[in-house]
Amino acid sequence: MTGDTDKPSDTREQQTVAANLTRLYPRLTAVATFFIVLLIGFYLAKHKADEARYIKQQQLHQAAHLFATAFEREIHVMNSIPQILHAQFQLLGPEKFRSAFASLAMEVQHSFQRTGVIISLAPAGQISQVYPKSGQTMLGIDLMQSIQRDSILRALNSGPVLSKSWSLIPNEQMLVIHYPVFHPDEQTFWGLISAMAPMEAVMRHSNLSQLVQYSIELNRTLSDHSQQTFFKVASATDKPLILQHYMDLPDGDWQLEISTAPVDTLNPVWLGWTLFIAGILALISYRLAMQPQKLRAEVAAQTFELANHDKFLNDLISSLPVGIVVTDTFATIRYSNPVFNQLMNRSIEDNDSLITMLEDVVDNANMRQFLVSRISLNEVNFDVMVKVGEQEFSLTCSHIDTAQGYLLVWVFRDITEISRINRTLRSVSATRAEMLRLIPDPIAFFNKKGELMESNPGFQTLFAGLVDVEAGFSCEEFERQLLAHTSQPDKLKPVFDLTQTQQGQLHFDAFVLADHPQSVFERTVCFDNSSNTVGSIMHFRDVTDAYEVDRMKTEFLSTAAHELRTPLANIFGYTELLIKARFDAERQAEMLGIIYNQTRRLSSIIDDLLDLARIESRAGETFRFEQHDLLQLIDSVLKEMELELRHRQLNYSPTSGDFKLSCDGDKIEQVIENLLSNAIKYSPQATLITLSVEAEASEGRAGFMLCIEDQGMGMDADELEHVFDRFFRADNSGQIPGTGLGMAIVREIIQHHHGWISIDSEPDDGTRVTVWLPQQQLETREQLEISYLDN
Amino acid sequence: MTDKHKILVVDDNRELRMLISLTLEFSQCELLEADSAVAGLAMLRAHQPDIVLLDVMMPGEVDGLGLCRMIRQDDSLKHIKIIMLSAKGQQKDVQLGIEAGADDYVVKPFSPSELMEKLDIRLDFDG
Repeated sequence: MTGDTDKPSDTREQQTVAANLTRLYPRLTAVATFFIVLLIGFYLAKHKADEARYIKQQQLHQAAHLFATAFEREIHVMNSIPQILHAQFQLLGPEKFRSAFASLAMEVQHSFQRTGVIISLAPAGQISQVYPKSGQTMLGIDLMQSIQRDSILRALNSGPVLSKSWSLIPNEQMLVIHYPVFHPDEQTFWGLISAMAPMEAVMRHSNLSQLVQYSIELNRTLSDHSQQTFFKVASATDKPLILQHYMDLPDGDWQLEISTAPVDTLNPVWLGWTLFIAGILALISYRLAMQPQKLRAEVAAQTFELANHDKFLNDLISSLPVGIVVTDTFATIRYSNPVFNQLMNRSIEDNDSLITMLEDVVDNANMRQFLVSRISLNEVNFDVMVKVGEQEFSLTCSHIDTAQGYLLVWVFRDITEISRINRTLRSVSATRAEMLRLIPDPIAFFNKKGELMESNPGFQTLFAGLVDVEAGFSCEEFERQLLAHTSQPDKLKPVFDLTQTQQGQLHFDAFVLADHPQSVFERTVCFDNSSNTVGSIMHFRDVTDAYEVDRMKTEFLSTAAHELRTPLANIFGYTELLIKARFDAERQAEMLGIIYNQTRRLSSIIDDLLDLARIESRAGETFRFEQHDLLQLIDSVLKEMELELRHRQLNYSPTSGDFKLSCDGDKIEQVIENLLSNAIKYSPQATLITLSVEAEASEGRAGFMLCIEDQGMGMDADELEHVFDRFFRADNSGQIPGTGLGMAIVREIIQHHHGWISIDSEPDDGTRVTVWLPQQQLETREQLEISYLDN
Repeated sequence: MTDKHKILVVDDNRELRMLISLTLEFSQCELLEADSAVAGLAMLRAHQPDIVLLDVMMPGEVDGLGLCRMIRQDDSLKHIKIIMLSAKGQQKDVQLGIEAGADDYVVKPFSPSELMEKLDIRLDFDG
């Protein structure tokens, strides 16, 4: 919680201080814990060190005392040895004693159990015998040296005494005791009996070596105050030895100094552990002290988040473009958002009834009854359309279970625009469906997955045998069937590739269906993967006519070239022969005749071709339609063909009557001439040619029928089929002249006169050609309609 | 040339057959004529010519190319040299003729002297 901003500033300062303290508290706790633990550690360490020092001191004291006692006892023992030997000397006399010295010394040594003790006999101060016999030099001790001398003189003066009769020899570390021996009879100084023990043996008999980390020194202060060290033993230690104990030996000259290592005041290991534990405890205390603070921060963050979320939800509901109302189960308004208030065009007060309010503004009839019945039946989850003026709303009601009991949530969504778009879409869709229905070309739409979405009747009719249009199919299935049903599967390439991503890619191919062998279809596939609905569009077109025209054009060109080249070959060949070789006059004439005929033939082919091309290309536009008498036209032709007809029997009896018609006279004459010429050429001379003409209506139109019949070779059905083809000749022998273009020209002329021609023929049974021409030329459909109205 | 070479011309055009006949008049060849493929095949079987001059476009069931293939498939005739004579002069037409088994292909109009040369070459090869 951030708190209010308008509190007094001193309170804020206090709060800041408190907050700062709160923030410092865990650190202070940690520091305090650390130092307290450290102090306790120090105290314990110090206490332990003091205790250790005290014990050490005790040990040291005890050890020194023991050593002194042991040393004294040793001197006592060492003193006893020469005393006993001296007693033997007194008893045996000097001579006998000297001979028995070795055995006596051994006996004494054994009785005192002192190994390492050397016993010597020195009459007049000169060593004569030593036990054990390790050497005559008394282990290198010069008895007459100054210090030795002092002790010897002392021994002489004091008689057989204990004190001061011994000496310590520093370098040899020996304990030496001299005992002066006097002659038994004369009571004069005879010599010395001495006992010597290495200090090592003395030490062995004391308990000092039990000490750890020690040093033992035996010192004497000389007359010039300098220190003389008799011996020093120290255990191996790297520490300075400080703790000391001083003690005077019974001799009085020598002082014993024992040192040991001091006990550490503070053990570093102890100190380390103390620091470690203090650190750990400080850390734990810090964490513990932090815990409440963390919890407080968390609670504050969550509270803030909740408040934000609450505000967000409020803002969201207010800003939604839908009207939202919350009511109780009696439709009394509890909450409404600004959009709803705007919709109702009034402010909402407590206890307003939604139903009453809606009744005022909604145009739907029986709205109140509907809502009341729904609420009373507790069927509160519904969705209805309501009209408010020009606007349309979708009203959705649903119930929610809250802490305050059941509530109803009413949502008003403006669907005016959606409804309008829906209507437009429906209209567009209907238009498209109608367009598709009217287009005769088969069309199919496939979606991105390759499934059929829509097809038109043209498609359904053409491919009814291939796929079940009703049940639907995939493009893959369709292509498979198409390939199976085409007569040239190699020409058809499956194009459907669902991974196709390029947009608007077109694909063309042409194929012939086995069910429709006469028709050629061209397929266009347009991929449109950019659209969400259509994956590809497949369009088919019947291109049979275009293909036929194309084929005919190629065939015509090929045939025309052949027809032109054949006479040309003859002209070329004969001319060359005439130039290069010599022939007799008769041959030459014949050859020139052939050249002449072939030239004429070439010329007439070219004329006919040009005629045909002109008629075809201009579609009869250059025809000069005038009123002509058909009988006069026939007469004119007969006159022109007088030569050809001279030897033929022509059965022609012109009937009287009106045979006037609108036509191009020259063209109709050409028709009659061509037909008559054919009848003459293709029938034997002796046979009859019949020409008749009569008025006859055809398809409700007035006109004239012209009939030319011969009794010639005739044609079979196959030939009859090709009779109007260009360069078709019923005769292939070359005997009958002709270009093969006459009938084609005839048909073109008649067609442009809006008439018709029919041929009946049987092989060897003659041919009958019937031509019908209309009386009036009706150039356009418009004129035709006008003429009907006039009638 | 000890023996007279036999040449068969198969063409539906009478004038052309005569042209070839005149062309060969001064040579030692014997010319046989047929006006259709069917007639040509009969002449081939009957006379075993050395060379056949064959028109491509002829009316009837079998055209020149058909006859050419028949000659090549017939063991008794396939040694005969074939020169196609045709008004069809495009590359693909020549190709069709060669594929059908023709040894040479002469496009109309042609020069009679050039045709003679071609015949001479074929006959010389023959021996």
